[in-house]
Amino acid sequence: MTPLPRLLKRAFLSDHLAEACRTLGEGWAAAVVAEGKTLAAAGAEMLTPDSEDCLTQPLPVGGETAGHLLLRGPSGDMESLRPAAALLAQGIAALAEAAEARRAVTGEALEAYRELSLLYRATVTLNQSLDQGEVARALLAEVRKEGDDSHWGAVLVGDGQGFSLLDSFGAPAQEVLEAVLKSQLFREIVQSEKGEVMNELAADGRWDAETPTLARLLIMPLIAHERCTGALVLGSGERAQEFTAGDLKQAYALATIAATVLYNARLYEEVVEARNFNESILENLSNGVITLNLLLGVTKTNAAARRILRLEQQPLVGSPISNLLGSENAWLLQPLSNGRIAEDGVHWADRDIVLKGGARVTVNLSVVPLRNVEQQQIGYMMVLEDITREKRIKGTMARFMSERVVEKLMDADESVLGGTAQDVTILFSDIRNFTGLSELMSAPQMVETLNDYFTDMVDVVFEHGGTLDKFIGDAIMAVFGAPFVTPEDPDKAANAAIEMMARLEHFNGKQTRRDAPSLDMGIGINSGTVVAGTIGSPRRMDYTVIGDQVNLASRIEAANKFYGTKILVSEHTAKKFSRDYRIREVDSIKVAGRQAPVAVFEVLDYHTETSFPAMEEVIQAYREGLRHYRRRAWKEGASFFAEALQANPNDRPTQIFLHRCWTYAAQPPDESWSGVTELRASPDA
Amino acid sequence: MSQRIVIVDDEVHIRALLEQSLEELEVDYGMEILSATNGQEGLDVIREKQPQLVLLDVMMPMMNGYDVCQAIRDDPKLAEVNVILLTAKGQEADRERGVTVGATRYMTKPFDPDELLEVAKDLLGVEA
Repeated sequence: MTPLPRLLKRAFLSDHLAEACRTLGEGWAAAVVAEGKTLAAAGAEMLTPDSEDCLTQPLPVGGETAGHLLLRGPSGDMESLRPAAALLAQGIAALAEAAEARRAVTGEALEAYRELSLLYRATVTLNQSLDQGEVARALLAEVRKEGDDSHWGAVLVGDGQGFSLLDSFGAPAQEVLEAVLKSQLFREIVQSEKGEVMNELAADGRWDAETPTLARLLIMPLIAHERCTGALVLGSGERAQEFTAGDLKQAYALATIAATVLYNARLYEEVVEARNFNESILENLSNGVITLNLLLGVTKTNAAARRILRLEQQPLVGSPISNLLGSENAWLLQPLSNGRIAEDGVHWADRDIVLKGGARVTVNLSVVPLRNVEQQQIGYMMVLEDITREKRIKGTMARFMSERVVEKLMDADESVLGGTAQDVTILFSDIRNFTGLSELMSAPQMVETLNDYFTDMVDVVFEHGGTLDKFIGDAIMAVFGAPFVTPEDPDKAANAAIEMMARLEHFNGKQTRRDAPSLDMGIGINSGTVVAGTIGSPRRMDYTVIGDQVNLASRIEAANKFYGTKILVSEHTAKKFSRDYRIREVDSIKVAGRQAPVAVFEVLDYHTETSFPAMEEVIQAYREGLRHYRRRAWKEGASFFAEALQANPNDRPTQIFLHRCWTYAAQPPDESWSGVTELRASPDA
Repeated sequence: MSQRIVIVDDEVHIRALLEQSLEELEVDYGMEILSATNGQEGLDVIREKQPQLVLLDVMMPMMNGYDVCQAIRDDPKLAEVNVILLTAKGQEADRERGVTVGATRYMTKPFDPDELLEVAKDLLGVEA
């Protein structure tokens, strides 16, 4: 019950008592006392709780005695005071009752004010951030009670699997939190979605943990969109104040707001994460992506798009696409500005975009309409694949090398096509007596024959990893080791040459069947350092190799005619072979334009026992013959060459050297003779 | 002489709420809480009683809270009076005007009773 002093104002009561005394007449005194004190007094003398000879009348308010009315009359006869005292007391009690009723109503209103005010403040503070941690902090700040060391609070978030701590105050012990989370109590409250206060935790049948520091709990589930997304947990020790219904009510009000805000915060974090993920993918795509609004203004670009269109230095967003590209891109700009972009997009392959400065980039380009979630078109998305480099490389290279090498080239740094000095092996092949042959064939027959021949031979070169450098009339120049050098380049060239001889055999079979003349072929191979690169004029650029070693390869090929051989390789190539071939040193030669002599070797692996009988004997005898020849031992040399010739009477090098030995035996050369054969520009002699 | 508080509001229930919110000052600190039901009556009571604190509703017929506040500030004898202006939520834009006419504080209805008591105590020099 409300104390009387709170129900009746002292001034009002004093006035009321004075009025009563005046009405009763001379010599009356009255007072209202409560809780041992005089609340108000009036009349002839000031009555106090200790006054004697006065009638004491109780003041019943709400069924209880709230205080007493003291009344003294002029007569001293107590019984005569009774009716007046009863009437006065009844009036005062009725006023107090009315005041009590008004207080109750006002109290309710004030409570509502408190709640409203709390909600208002909490709504503002809790909604200030979309960061889950900050929301939790704001929630905890609202429920924190000062002046109690054992009081703690925690905001837990649930992901459907379990709960984890988001933030706390008062440093709840880890084991206490774990005990709460594991308890049947917590599970039941979360399931019921209704908060509860447990002021005697130890007596709660749903709690079986031993936590001496924890005596009271308030658990309030955070419910948003009909799902429990977390919980507010408040705890305190034995000596702390009990949690009240007001605390629970406050926690409920705050949890209602916080749950929604936390839910939104989590949603926001997910959205931000998804957006960052998408942005990162977009930015790192190797294809360029540009999005446009319906007015064809740029709304987004990625790094690849800016690089492809050389627009790295200027702000793009907001600029019309037509301002960013040159005006000569009608193939793209017109369909865009006319809105002629099909539902499923438009795709252009291998198109040139003219940039502002006039440069061109070749692209594969797709434009698709961009739609929002309501399927309304909001603009366009352009996807660009820059194929400028591929196009240039392929254009230059595909004719000269196998697809495999082209692919490798695509993957490599573009600088490999610039001028580089590198060690390569060069193979020249030439058709013997082509002029004579051409007289035997009609022009179409000759073209057909040549095309078939080149097709076969270039295939062999490609199969062995070589690149076709060029056709020179009926000659083929192939390179092994450009653009990519490998240690096996000399072997690859030798094997290609051997295979070419075999393929020629097969080709000649076909020629015979179609009644066309057979071809004969010589191959020369040399290895050395050359300059490799894309060389030519802007109108015609070819990837090629140039240098002295290239000329030497050509000369060695020509030497075949002189020695009657098919495959000759220089000593530079032969010493780099990594496997054994059936090979012999033929001679040491000096070619036109070169001072240094070079030893040339014949590769014989393509021969069969029929085409070259007793090859091993011939090679042995020839080697001995050559050794004696170089020592000017003409007779000994001649005998070895004669032995070789006996084994294979058709071996042209042996014939040449046997002849030389005889000649020099009859008329020895002067002292300047070095055993080197000079082959001049036309070695047919 | 005891301190006095004057509540000026034309709505009886608001007067009751304000009185009850501040009753601790009356009961425990012996302060006198007086009420007036409109601006003019309020100004008369304030001039007569010279209170230390006035709780003044803004929206009142005849003489609104701003005018009462202005009149208080224009009266040299009332220079020390603290004035808390009370206005309805959503009219916070009027705060500026309250400051202009010299209000000490500005609170919105529904006010937080606990906060109101704290502010009153603060202005009257009663330790919290």
